[in-house]
Amino acid sequence: MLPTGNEGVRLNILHVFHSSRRATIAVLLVAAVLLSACGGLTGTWPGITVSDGQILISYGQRIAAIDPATGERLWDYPNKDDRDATFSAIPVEVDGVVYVGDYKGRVHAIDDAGQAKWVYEPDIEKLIGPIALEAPDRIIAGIAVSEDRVFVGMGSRNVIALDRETGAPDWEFETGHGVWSTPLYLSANTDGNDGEATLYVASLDHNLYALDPETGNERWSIDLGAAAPGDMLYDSDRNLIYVGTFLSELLAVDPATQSIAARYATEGWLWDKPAMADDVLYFGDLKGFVYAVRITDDGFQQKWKLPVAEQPIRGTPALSNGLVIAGSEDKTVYALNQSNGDLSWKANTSGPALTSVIPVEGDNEAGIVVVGTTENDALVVALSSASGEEDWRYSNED
Amino acid sequence: MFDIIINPFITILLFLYKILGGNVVLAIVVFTVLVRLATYPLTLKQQRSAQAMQKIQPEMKKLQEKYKNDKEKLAEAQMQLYREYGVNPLASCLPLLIQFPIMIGLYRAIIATLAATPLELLDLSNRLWVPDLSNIVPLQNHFMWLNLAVPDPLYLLPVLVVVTMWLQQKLIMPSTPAPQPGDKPDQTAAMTRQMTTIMPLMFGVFAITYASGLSVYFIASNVIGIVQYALMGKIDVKGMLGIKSAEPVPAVVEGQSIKAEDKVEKAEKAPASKAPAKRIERPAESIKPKRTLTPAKDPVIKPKKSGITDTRAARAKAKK
Repeated sequence: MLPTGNEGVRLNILHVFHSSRRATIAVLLVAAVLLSACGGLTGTWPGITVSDGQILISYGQRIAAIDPATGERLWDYPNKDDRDATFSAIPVEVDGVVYVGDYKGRVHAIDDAGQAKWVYEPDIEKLIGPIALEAPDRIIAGIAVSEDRVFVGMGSRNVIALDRETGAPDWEFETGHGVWSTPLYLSANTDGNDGEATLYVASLDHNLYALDPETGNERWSIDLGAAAPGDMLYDSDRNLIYVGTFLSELLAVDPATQSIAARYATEGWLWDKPAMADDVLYFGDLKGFVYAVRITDDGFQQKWKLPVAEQPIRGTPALSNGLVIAGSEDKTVYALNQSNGDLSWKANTSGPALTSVIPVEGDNEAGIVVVGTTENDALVVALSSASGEEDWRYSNED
Repeated sequence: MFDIIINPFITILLFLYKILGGNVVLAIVVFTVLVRLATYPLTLKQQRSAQAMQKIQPEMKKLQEKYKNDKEKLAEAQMQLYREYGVNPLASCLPLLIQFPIMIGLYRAIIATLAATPLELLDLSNRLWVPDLSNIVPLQNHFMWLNLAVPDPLYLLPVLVVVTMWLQQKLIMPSTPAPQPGDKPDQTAAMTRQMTTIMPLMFGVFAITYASGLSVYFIASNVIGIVQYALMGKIDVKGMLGIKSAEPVPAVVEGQSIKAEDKVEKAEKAPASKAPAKRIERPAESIKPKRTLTPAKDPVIKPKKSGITDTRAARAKAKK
C-alpha cells in the first residue's frame, strides 16, 4: 500500500509542493494513477459470426448486423437509451433469432428486425439496496441451441439451460470454474453420434463434461489437464471432439470411449477450435505459430508448423482459396498456403485481430474474409480472400 | 515497461498458489508478506530520512516565520539548513518512487492471474517463466462467498479496506493538537487530516470497482503494515484514541520534537537523583549536523546540538 502514512514522508512531499492542498492533490493523483493500473486490461475482443446473409458482431454496448457486401449496418441492438451492458460473446443465429449473452449475465433473444424477443435476467438475491449475496455473472461464451432449449456457459462456473421460446430457466449445472467456451450440442441423429443427444461443456476447471441436455445431469467427464477456454470442433466422420488447452495441446476426445484419442503438442497455449478440411486441422497458438496437422487412425500427424506472427493467434483461421487465413494480435491477418504454409499475403487491420477469421460468400468471385478487431474504427475488416486487399471496414461509432 | 516486474511476480504468485494447496487468498497474503519483506530496506531508509526531516522542523518553522515576506531568502535559508544537517528533502520520496512500480507490478500480477477478463488471460499467456505453471491458470477464484475476479457483492471487503487503511494511518500517525484560536494553520496537519480521510475512501472506491482479489491484497497489506510498524515501535495507540501522551513520542511531529528539546533543557537543570533524558530517542546518525561544512553566514541558521549530545551531557551532569 502507499507508504504515505508516514509523517516524515508527508513533510517531504509538503516541502516539494509548498502547500498542503497541492501536496494532497499530487499524492492523490499518484494514487489514482497507481490504482488505475489495477484495472489492467478490462476488455475483451468482439464476438463475430456470419449467418443468414449477415455478419453479426457483438462489442461494447451493442450487437450489430452488417451487410457483408457493403459493410453497412443493417440494425443494432439495444436501442441507444437501453445500452447498459457490455457484449463480447459470439452471437448465434438460429431460425431468424439471434441469441447472445452480456456482461451482466443476461441472455437476449433478438428477432430479425433487431427487437428483443425475450431477455433472461439472472435472479440475484439482494439483501439491502445494492448489497447482494452474489456478484452478477458474465457471459463470455457463445450459446448452443437445441430444438427447445438454449445452453449458456457463465463466466463464473455454471451452465444454464433456458427455454428457447420464452427464456424461462430450465436447469443449471455447476462446473469448478468459468465456462468461456461455447457449449457443443449434438442431437441424437447427428452424423457420427449414434447415442443420445448430448451437451458437451469445456470448462476452465480443466474438465470436459458430457451432460444430458434434458436434465443437465452429468453423464461423464474427462480431465483435459489444463483450462480449455475456447470452442470445440466436432468431427462427425470420426466422432471426435477437438479441443485446445492451456497445456499447449490439441486434444481429440472420443465420446464413445470417453477418453483422449490423440494429443498434439504445440509451442504456445491454444485458445480456439481448429478449422478442418480434408482430414487436416489448421490452427494457431498464442506464441504466433500456425499448424497443419493431419488426423489419422493412428493419431495426429504434423503436416507443417511455422512461426508466423510476433504475437498471439487466438481465433480459428478461415480456409478459403487454398489458403489458411489467420488473424493475430499484432494487427495483421496472414494468409498461408494450405499445402506448405508459404505466406501468400498479409494485411494490416489497424487493431489486434483477435477474433476468428470468417469466410463470406460475396459478389467478389473469390469471396471475402472478415475479422474483428478491438478498434472501434475498424471493428470489422473485410479482406479479399485471394489477395488480402481491403474491401471495407466497419466502424462501431454511431 | 513493467513487464520486468510483473512477469516474475506472476510466476512467484502462481508458484505460491501451487505449493499452498490452491488457496488463492493464502497465496496473496504470503505474496504480500514477501513483497513487504523485500521492500523493507526501502521502508527503513525512507523512515530514517523522514525522521531527519522531522527533526529540523522547529528550525524550519523559525525560518518560515523570519522570512515570511521573502520567499527567495526563505528558500536559500532552507537549503542551507538542509546542507548543514545533511538532509535531502527528496530522500524519503525516492524509496517511495521506487516502490511504485513494485506495487503496480503486484496489482497487475494479482489481476492477471485471477483472469478477470479474456484479455487478461490472453496477456498472461506469454508472461509465465515456468511453463509447468500453465496447468494451474487461471487460478481458482472462488473463496467463500466471493468470486475474486469480480467486486464483492456484499461490500464487506471494500468496508474492510477502508477500515484497515484508516486504522493503519491513525495508528502510525500521532495525534496532532487541535489548532487554537489565533494559531497559524499547520500545513502538515492539514495534509495529514486530508489524507487520513480521502485515501481510505479512495481505496474503498477502487475496492468496489475492481476484482475482490485486489481487495484481499489491500487488506492484507494494511494489516501487515500495522504489524510491521508495531514491530518497529512506531504505533501510536494513544494518539489514535485521542489520549494525550504523558510522555510524548519522541521526534515524530514537529510540535513534539520541540517538547523533546525542552525536556533536555529541563534535564540539564534537574537534580542528580533523577534520570531525566531516558525517554529521548537517539536520533539517526544521518541527522547529525555536518560540522565540516562552512558555517552559515546567516547567524540564525546555526546547527542545533543534536539530542544525543544533549542527552549525554544531561546524564553526565546528573552523575556529577
